[in-house]
Amino acid sequence: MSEYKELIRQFDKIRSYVRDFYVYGFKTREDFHEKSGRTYDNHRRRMESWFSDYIRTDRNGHKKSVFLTLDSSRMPVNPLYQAWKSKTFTDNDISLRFLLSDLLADGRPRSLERIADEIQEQYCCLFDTQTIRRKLAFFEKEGLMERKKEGRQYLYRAIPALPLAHPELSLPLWLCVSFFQGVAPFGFIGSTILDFWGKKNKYFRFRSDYLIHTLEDEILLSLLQAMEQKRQITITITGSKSHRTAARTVTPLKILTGTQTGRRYLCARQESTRRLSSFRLDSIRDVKLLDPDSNYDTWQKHFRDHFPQVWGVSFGGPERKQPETVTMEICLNEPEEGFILNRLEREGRGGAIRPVAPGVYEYTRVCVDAAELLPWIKSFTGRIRRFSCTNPAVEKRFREDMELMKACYLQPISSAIPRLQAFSLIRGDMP
Amino acid sequence: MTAIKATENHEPCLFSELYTCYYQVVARILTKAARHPLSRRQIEDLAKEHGYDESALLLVPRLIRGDWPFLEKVSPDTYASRLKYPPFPQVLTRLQRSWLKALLSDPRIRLFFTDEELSSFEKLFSDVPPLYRTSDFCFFDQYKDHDPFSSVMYREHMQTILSAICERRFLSVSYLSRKENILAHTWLPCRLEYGQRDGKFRLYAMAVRKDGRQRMDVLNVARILSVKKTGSLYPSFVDVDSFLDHDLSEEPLVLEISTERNALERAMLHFSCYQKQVERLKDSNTYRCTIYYDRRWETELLIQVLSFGPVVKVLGPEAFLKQVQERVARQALLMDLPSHLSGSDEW
Repeated sequence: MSEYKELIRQFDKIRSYVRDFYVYGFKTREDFHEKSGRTYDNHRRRMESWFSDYIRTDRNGHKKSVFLTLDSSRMPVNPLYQAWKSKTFTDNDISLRFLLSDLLADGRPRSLERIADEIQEQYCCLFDTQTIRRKLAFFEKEGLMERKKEGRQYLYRAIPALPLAHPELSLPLWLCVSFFQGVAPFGFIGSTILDFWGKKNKYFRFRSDYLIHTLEDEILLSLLQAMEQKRQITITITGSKSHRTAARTVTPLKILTGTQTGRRYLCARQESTRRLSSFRLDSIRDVKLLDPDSNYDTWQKHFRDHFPQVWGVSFGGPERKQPETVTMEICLNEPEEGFILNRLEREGRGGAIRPVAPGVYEYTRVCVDAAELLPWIKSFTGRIRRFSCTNPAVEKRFREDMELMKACYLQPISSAIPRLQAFSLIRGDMP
Repeated sequence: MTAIKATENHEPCLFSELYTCYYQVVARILTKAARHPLSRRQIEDLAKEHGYDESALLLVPRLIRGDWPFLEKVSPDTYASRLKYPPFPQVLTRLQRSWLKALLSDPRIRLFFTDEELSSFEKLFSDVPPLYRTSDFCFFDQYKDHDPFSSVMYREHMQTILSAICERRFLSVSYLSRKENILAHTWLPCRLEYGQRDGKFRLYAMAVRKDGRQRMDVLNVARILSVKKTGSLYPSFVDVDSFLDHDLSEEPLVLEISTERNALERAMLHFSCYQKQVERLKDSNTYRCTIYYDRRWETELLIQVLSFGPVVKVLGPEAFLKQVQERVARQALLMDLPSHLSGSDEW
């Protein structure tokens, strides 16, 4: 039986555990069926160690749930990046990382033999030449060293560190990286740059930041690589509800990010259905690059033509032949409730807004899948005078939801509101 | 059709030993040990400060024993660094450089550099391929009225603010309030907050009253009309979070979430940016979620909760529940009343 280690070999082994601990947080040891109890214990212990400041436990009878809880708007750096910084290494890996960097920091090029000799002389360490060669090749591949041929031998040289070579850029680069590590894709890489420079983010915070996205970065990198090379790919996806795994051959076109829902999607043309579809990044387990798609630019144009009629990420199924139209009328007290009109404009994603009566505005949006609008429409609960949709199922769902909301919240008080008061309520000031 | 596993395609690897936390802890220890020899206790403290919770247990014995040959014993209980050069700053990897290159296509990058600096940056990275293209991403639900990142005035304001934050220098600011009043005041800029949803920068700035009392104000950077550095400096770092603690709601929001329509999964992800606790309710298909929130964002949270409809039910606190009930009551009346009544000209 292998002993517990704080560091791990493969990131995908930990991905679903971090997600469950952070997003859900109520699961107990018994809920993690896929692996043994011991595997769960080891992962739990790792997470208690990596995220010690944010780990909490809760007891429900005999069952204990361990979870990660934090307010993302207070975080200078996404704590989940720690999971990316947990790769195992050997004694040789760490020794040569520091010794080779230190030896070559003077900028002088050296041959492999010279390097081996100087490491022995200056640091009293003996390494096999092959080991050093392999490490130098790895550092060269990673861009940390340069190699050039001189005569019959190769000479190795360190590349100067950016802040030392260009001190005038030091401050703006630090501020820029501090900011973008929190907002740009692959922010984890930005946080490693801060690590490499011995710096911290002191002045930026990020609101409504979905920290969980970082767990999908390996998948995202492969998708972007395929998009850049205009390739088809095979993705292995696991359904969030069914938990069934399936493979799909698709041409990746765009990464769609929801800043309000916390979800990220791959928009791709699916080979089997010949339609545009969206796949949640957190459902993609694996990506295999295939040959370049000769029609890539055509599919991109297809995406650009169709996307303006999409509200969120749904391109509709084969049964939807015509776009659907949603119309709602919103009541507000003008001018003090002008912010409601602002909401319609800034959040309405190009929907048409027109006044229909004093203090009543009509909002209309044509889209492929009107059901996607419902959450946003419901956020105006209390102000919707009329709602209609060319898709009767969507209209029915809205009405039913409002009835359920009424049943859920109002039974005790609705009967207590006299009809006269009801009118004043409609016109009244809403917070 | 040729299949290549993406990670085998000789692309830079995200999950690499080069970025491991332990390397950074060792670098921190060696930086200190180059200045003056460290005791074992001091080495352990640094490992605890910069590493994971259990890192010190593994890392410190290896350094002391010499398995990792970076320290030499200079007295019975002190160790000095064997390295000749400070470990920081380190050379960036190809992956890190390509990430930096990708930032150049983001319009917000201009806020951090002057034209001259930006041109040096671009020249330096001219032969580096970007890790991604900003155009590969679409933030489909971001609000339309984000800050004017390309505006010359906005950029100047941001650069003045950034410089003053670093210097802890007071700023003289003219500001257009939400109620369209022009306020002129002196503030100490402390922190910038960026909202992903609305694409806006907010400046957390401290105002000091004549009697010495301090207050933390939040200014929308796009509403700043003019900003100028003053000659006054503030002597110490301001703990912004201690001011914000006063804004935390005394009672958390308690929600009951059903599993219908995948509501649990949607809600958990939606509210994952808040500090929260979730418990499964015994013998039912529902979950109780307790969210700790900042009172300043209560209306926004209320709107988010309403967007879930009946699958997420507010249980408390009383004041929050009352707001939901009022809105639902108004909605019920709007829907039940004939349209000619609710939309009458009396409005």
